[in-house]
Amino acid sequence: MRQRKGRRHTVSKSRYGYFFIAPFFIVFAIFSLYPILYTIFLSFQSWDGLGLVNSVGVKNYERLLKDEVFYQSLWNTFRMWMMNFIPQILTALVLSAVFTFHRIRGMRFFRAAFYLPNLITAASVGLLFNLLFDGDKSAMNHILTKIGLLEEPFAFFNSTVFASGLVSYIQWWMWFGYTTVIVMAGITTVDSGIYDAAMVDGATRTQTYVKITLPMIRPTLIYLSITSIIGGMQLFDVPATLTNSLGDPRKSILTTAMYLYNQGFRNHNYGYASTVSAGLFVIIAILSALCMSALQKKEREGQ
Amino acid sequence: MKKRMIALLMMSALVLGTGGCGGTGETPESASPERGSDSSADRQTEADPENTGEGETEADRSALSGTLEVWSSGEELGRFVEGFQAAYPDVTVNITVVPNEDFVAKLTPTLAGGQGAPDVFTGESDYVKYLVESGFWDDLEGAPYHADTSDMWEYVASVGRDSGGTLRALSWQASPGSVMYRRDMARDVLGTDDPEKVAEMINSDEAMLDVAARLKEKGIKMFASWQDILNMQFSNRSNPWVADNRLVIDESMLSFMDMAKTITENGYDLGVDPWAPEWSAAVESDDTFCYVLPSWGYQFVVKPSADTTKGEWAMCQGAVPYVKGGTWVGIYKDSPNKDLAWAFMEYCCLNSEAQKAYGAEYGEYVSLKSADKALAEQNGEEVLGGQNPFAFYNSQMEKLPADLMTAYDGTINNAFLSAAKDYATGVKSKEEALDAFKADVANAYPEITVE
Amino acid sequence: MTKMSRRFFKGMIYAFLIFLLMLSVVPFYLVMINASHSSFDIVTKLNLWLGDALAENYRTMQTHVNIWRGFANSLLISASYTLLTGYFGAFVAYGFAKFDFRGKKILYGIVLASMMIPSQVSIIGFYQLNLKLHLLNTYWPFILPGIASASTVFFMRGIITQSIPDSMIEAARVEGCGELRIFNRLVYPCVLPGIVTMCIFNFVASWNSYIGPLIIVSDSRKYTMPVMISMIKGLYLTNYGAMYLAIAISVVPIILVFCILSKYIVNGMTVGADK
Repeated sequence: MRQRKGRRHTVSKSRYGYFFIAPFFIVFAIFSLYPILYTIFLSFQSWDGLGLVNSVGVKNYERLLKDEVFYQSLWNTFRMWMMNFIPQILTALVLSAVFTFHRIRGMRFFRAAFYLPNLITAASVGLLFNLLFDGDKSAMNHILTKIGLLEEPFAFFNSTVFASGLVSYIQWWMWFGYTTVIVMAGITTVDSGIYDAAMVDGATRTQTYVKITLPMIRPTLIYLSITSIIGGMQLFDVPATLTNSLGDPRKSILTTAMYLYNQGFRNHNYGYASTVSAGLFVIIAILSALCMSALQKKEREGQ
Repeated sequence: MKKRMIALLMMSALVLGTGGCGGTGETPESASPERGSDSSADRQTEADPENTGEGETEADRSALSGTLEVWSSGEELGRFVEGFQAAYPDVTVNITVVPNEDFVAKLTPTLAGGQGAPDVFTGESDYVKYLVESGFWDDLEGAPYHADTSDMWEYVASVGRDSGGTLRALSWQASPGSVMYRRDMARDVLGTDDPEKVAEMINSDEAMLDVAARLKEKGIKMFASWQDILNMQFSNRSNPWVADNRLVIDESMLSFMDMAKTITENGYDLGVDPWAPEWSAAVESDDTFCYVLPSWGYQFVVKPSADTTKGEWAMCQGAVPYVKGGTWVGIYKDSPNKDLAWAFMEYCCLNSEAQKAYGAEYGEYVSLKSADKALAEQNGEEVLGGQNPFAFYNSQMEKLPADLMTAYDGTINNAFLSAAKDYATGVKSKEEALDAFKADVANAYPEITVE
Repeated sequence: MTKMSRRFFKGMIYAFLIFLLMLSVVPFYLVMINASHSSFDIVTKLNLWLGDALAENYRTMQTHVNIWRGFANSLLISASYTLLTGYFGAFVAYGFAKFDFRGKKILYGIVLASMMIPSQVSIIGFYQLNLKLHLLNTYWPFILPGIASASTVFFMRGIITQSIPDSMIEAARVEGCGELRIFNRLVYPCVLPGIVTMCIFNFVASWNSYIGPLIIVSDSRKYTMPVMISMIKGLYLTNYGAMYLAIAISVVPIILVFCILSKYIVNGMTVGADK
C-alpha cells in the first residue's frame, strides 16, 4: 500500500503504525475511558453525591446554555490565558534568540534559573503571593509605600484588574522558562547549517531568526500554543489558592474549572458540574482546532 | 542502548518494588468486609449487641480489639487518641487528617462507591447538615449505641439530628462565642476592663459602633475584620437561610450589611479578610481592639499568638450571645467495626472524665455540661488575665437560641459575605449586592426558590 | 554596530537576563527564608534573612506528617511515571510521525482530545474505576498512565518529524533492520534531548499532583508530598512555618533532578548534521 505524494514518500508498512500506537490506546482505554464515560453519564443526571442519582435528560445542558456565570468564567479564563500566553511566548522567543545568536556567559545557569518557577506547586505559589499582597500591612504595601509609589496601602485583592493581572503574571512566571527551554529544544534539532548559510549570505541575525528559524520550528510552536491553550483553559490551582476559591473579587478570577469544582464539591451538584465539564471540553476543543488551523494555514501560505 | 538497559532495569526494579509495597488490594486498612480477619475478637463482641453502650464492664473493654479508621478534618480528634488507647489497649486508632477544603471531595467517592470509607468521620459546621441528612451516619439512639445526650448541651445534639429527629452525630466540643477584647485598650479608652461593664457598653449594634468611634479617636481599630461579626449575627436571626425550600434573608442580615458598610467607611477595622495573615497577626498589634469569634477563635487565633499581650485579653458578650462553627462526628452506617467506633465516639463525646482532661489540657470548650462546669471551677487562663473561659461560655450556652443550621449554609454564607463586601467597599449599592447574592444562591442551588 | 554600541547592547542583554533572574528566584528565596521563621513572624513581617525557628518548624512538621516518607513515596511514583513517559511517549509518537494508516487522523485527534478533558469531576469516576480494579490505595493509578502521556506524544511527534528524515529510516529498512530495532537503536537515541526535556516536565507534573493521590490513597503512610503539605496547613492555618519548610523540602529534589537532567538538553545536538 505505497502512497506517493509528489517527491516525498510516506513510509508504508502501516500495520506497524498500529503496533506503535497501541500502548497508548490500551492504557487510555483502561484508565481514562471509564471516567470520561462516567462524567458524560453524570451530566444527564442530578446527584448530590450521597443520595440517589436521578435522570434529568438534557435539563442540565439547557441550564448551561443560559448560565451567565459559566460564560463569565469562560471569558475570565480566556482573558487570563491571553495575558499570560502572549508575554510568555514573546519572552521565550526573545530569550531563545538571545541564547542562540549570542554567546552568553552562564547561559545554562540562566536557563536553569528561569525554569525554576515551573517546579513549585501552583498551590504553594498562590499561597505565597497571597501572603505578599493581602492586607494593608502586607509586604508589598509596606515596600510600595516606603518607596513612595503608593500613598496609602492599596487593597490589591479588591481590585478585579489587579487580581486578574496577578494570576496572569503568576502563570507567566511559572511557564516562561519552560517555554524557553522547549523553543530552544526545537531550535537545536534544526540543522544549524541552514542558518549559518543564510547569515553568510548577508542576512542579519534578526532576519534569520524570524524568517528561517521560526518557520522551521513550527511544530514546536504549534505544540506550545496548543498545550498552552489546553492547560490555560483548565486553569485551577493558582486562582483557587490566591483569594478565596470563589473567584473573588467579584468573580473576576473565577475560572471555569473552579466553577465546576465548586458546583460539584461545594454545592453538591455533581450532575451539573459534569455538564459544565462537558461544556468546557467542547470550548477547549473548538479553541484548539481554531488555533491549529490558524497556525497551519500560515504554513501553507508560506510555501 | 546502555541507557535503555539501565532504564529498563530501573523500571523493573521499581515495578517489583511497588508490587511489594501493597500493590495488591490486600492492605489491612482497606475497609472491605474481609477485614474482620485480623480481629476475630471483635466478631465475638459484635455477637453481643445488647451489652455495648453504657453498661460496659471491664471485661467488655479488654475484649475489644481491632483497628479503627477515623477521618477528621482537624487536629482535635487526634488528641483523644492517647487517652482512648490507654482505656482500650487492644484497639488501634488510625486518624487520617484530611484538609477541610478537600474533605468532601475525598469522602464522597468512598461513600458513593461503598468501599474504602472510614468507620468514623467528622463533619464541619458548614456541611454537617448535608452529611446528617444524607443518612450515611448511623442512628446513635438506636441499637447498639443507645446514646444518652442528657448531659450534652442541647444545641450540639440538635445539630446532629436530621429533619426526622434521628440523632446521627455528636460532638466533643461546643462553640459558643464572645467578643475577645484587649484589656489595655479598654482601660485606656473606655475606662474599665471589666467584662461585665464592657459588655454593657457593647450590648447592641449601635452601642458597638459608638465604642468603635471612641476607639477610632485614639487611633485604634475596633475590629480585626467586620466579617467576624457575621459569626455573631448568625445567631441573631429568627429564620434560617432556607425554609420551605425558599431563601429567607433575615432582617438581622440586612442590618449586618449596613453595619459592615459603616465599619468600612469609617475605618473601624483592618480591611482584611478573616484568616488573612494580617488578621491572624493582629493579636499582637497595638491598634486592634477585638475579635468576634467563637471558642475556637480563642483556641487557635488569640491564644497561640499572644505573646506580649498575655494577660491583656478578656472575653465578654457582644450584642447577642451566639454560637458558630464546630465539628461533629458520626459512625459510618456500613462500618464493620461499629463497636470500636462507638467506644471511641463515646469516649470523646459522652465521657465526662475524658472531656475534663481534654479541656484542661487544651483549653477547648467541650460538649458535656458536667465537664464544662467542672472546668469552670479551675483556674483561669493566663492570656485572659485570670478569667476562666469555661465559666464565661457556660453562661452563654444557657442563653442560646435554637439551631437554625441548614445544609446550604456554607455556600450561602460565603456568597453573602462576598455581597456584603461589595456593598461595604462601595462597589455596589445595597440592591445590586443583594441581587448578586440572590443570583449566586439560585445558581448554586437551583432547587431553592429565590425571589 | 560599533564596538561601543555592541558593548552597550550586550550589557542591556545581561541586565535583562539578570532582571528575569531576580523575578524567577526571589519567590523561592522567600519560601526558603520563611521556612526558618515562626508562623507569627511570617504573617507579620517581610523576612529577608534566616530566622531561628527552623528546628521548631521541623518538629511541628514531623508531628503532623512523616515528611521523609512522603518524599520517598513521591520519588517512587514520579520516577516510575517519568521513565514510562520517556520511553512510550516517543514510542507512540513514532507511530504517528512516521507511519501512515487508516484512521490516523482520528486516532491522533483522540490523543489530543484526551488532554482537553477537565479533571475535577472525572475524579469520581476515576475513583470508582480503581475501586473496581482493586487498585485503590496503591500507586498504579499514578504510574501506569505514563504509558499514555498525551502531551509527551504530542511534543515528540513534532520532534521526530523535525529531526528524523524518512531517508534514514528507509536506509535502515533496506539494510534489513526490523521496525522495533529501527526505533530502539536509531530513532530513540536521536531524539533523546527532546525526551529528556519532556521527562523533566513530566517528573515535575507527577511530583506536584495533588487531587489524584488525595482521593485514591487513604493510608497516611502512603501519602505523597503535596498531600502532606496540605495536611500540615491544618484547619486553622497556624502552621505557616512548618508548611513553608515542607514546601522547601518538596522543591529541593526537583531542582536537583532538573540540574542533573538539564545537561542532556544542552545545545550541541545538531542531529541532522551528524549523519
